[in-house]
Amino acid sequence: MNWKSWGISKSPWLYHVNTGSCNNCDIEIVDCLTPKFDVERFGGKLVGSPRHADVLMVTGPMTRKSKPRFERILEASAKPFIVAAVGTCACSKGMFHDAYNCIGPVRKVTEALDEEIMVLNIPGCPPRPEAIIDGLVTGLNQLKEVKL
Amino acid sequence: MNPSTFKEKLSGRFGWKLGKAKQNSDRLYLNPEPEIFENLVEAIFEDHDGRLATISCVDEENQFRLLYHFVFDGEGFITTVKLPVERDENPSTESIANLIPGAEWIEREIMEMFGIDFQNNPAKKRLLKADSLGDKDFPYRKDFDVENLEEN
Amino acid sequence: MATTIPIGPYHPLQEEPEHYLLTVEEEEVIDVDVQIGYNHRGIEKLSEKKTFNQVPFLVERVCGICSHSHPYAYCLAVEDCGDIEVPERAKYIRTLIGELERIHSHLLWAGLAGHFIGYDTVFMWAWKYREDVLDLLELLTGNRNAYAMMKPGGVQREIKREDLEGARPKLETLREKSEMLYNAILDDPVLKARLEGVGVLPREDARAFGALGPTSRASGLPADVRADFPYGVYDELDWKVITREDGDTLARVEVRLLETLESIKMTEQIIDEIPDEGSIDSEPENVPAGEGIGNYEAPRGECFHYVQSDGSNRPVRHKIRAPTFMNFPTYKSTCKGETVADATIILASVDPCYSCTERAISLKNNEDVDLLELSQQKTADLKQEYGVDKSPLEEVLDE
Repeated sequence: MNWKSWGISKSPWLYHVNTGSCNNCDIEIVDCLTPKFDVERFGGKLVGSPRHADVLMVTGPMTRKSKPRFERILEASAKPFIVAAVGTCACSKGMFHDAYNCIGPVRKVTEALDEEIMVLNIPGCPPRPEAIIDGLVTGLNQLKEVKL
Repeated sequence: MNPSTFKEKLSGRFGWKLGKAKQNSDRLYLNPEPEIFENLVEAIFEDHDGRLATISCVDEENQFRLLYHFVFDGEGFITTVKLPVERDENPSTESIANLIPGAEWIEREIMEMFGIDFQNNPAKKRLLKADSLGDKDFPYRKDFDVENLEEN
Repeated sequence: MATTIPIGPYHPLQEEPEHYLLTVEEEEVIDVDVQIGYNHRGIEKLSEKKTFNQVPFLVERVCGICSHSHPYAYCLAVEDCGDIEVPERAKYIRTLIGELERIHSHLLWAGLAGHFIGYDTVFMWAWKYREDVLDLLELLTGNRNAYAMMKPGGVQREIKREDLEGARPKLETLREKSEMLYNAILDDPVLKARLEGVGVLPREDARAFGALGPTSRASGLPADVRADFPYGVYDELDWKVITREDGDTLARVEVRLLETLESIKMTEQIIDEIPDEGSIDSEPENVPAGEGIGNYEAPRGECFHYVQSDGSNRPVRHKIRAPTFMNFPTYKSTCKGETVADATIILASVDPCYSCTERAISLKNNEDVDLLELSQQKTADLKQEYGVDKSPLEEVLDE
């Protein structure tokens, strides 16, 4: 573990990107921040700009219109960062696998841009807040073994 | 007021041009002659306080059909006015957004998804469709080729 | 001199992407332009490929917050098309979930509205109390969101009497908390100063734009699908339509908070009156050729679905009109002449939901405990906490 991954795993700042999701995963992510689940216990904090973010929380099956914007967010994010694909849509497109306007999933877009970007999959429709926290903690623990 | 009394009121004004109607206890479907369409919509909206719920567009392969759904909130019934639109190179019809401002977004959506031109719509700009789809791609048409769509 | 401020599509204010162009002259907003479509997935097109019984699962994903409203409106449309009768008990279950969903949605909005004007205490409070409703929904349906209860002709699952009785104490605390929230918000001089007289939507504009739900009721239009087209069991319940005449943002807040209290009252009546016996599904064989319309009062306003069938097992055309599609264009009337700082809360005060306006994988964590098992365990714990004897999991394990 180097100091960069140590820093991220201690207080991951989250930036939320909706790429066409149905709101379910989004409200569960916001739920994680409110008193009952409270990820600020782990140093997690929702920030307003990708330039401050350590973890991009991506939801949705990547619609045609949001893909170029998402690529710009990836370029704008301060490196190193990791991408967390929250929800079945973001992991594998789920029930929108044959929709004409969905060209995801998230991993496909990040791989086309840069194969080095680490993508965490948190499946569920929607994942419960517990699952989101569990996924994040698992991912951040794995980070300790990766050199960013 | 219920669907049958409402239909009587309308046929008192428009006569045979109101066309064939279908009704049950809380739905009324009208097939008016296209020439009276605008006056009919105006009468429903202005004189009878119908609220435009939405416009559905149905692709019937040989033509399009626009369904203007008006809800009568206090009375508890829904009237649907059907208007066929010829399916040629440039299908078009007259906009009602200048009469009912709420129709503007609905018409813009149909313009993008079905390619029906609403003449005199006040804001003919792209609202929904992705930038990577062309001006001649109309996703909700039945003959839209989903399989060979470019992946970007 | 006029300046244009672009906001979005990704911005810290709302969860969903949308692009605003505010044209301002000093502090005053003189024009607003909106670009949407970032959430457009093409559900209407996808729906034509699904069978009538599959579509409810798809339209549940139109919007995660109204995940009972869209399937309900769709089922009403199919039932209108095929003249399908719904058993009495199924109607009660449908209405019960619908009202619980309204409570959770209005509390969610109240919290976000507090967040938009920088009052995060309201945000945290409202979302804390909202968790109680989500627990109730989990107790009754097994899911926090996306309840998967609807099918044409009835509902998918039973709700047991013990579960219903277990919900009562929680509803009582929920009422206390909602009343407290109502008083706290309306007594607060700062909130009053920020909301009163801001973003007024006059009655005639509400009608012209076809505004729906709390947005139109706050402008004095008493339209409510639950009262005008009494689907479900609304004609057997004692409740009233909340209206306000002012049309400003404060009125919209007030209408939503009062509706929350009405919904809690209705939920308790449903628990009292729901018959314990009876079928929950009329099991329709097929949908004949024809067309049907379903309208449903979602938390944000009327959901409108139109279904056309040709006698096969799939809809030929399924049109979905979400309430925000009609409510949102009212910004043309409400935003002009206001300041930039107020524009955020005005735009948010219609409770916009853009994903409207457009299964499970088993996961192992570090200790090799199946997450699915953990979540079933949580539902079981909830049931015990509510004094319900046996959870379905325990019953399965017993067998």
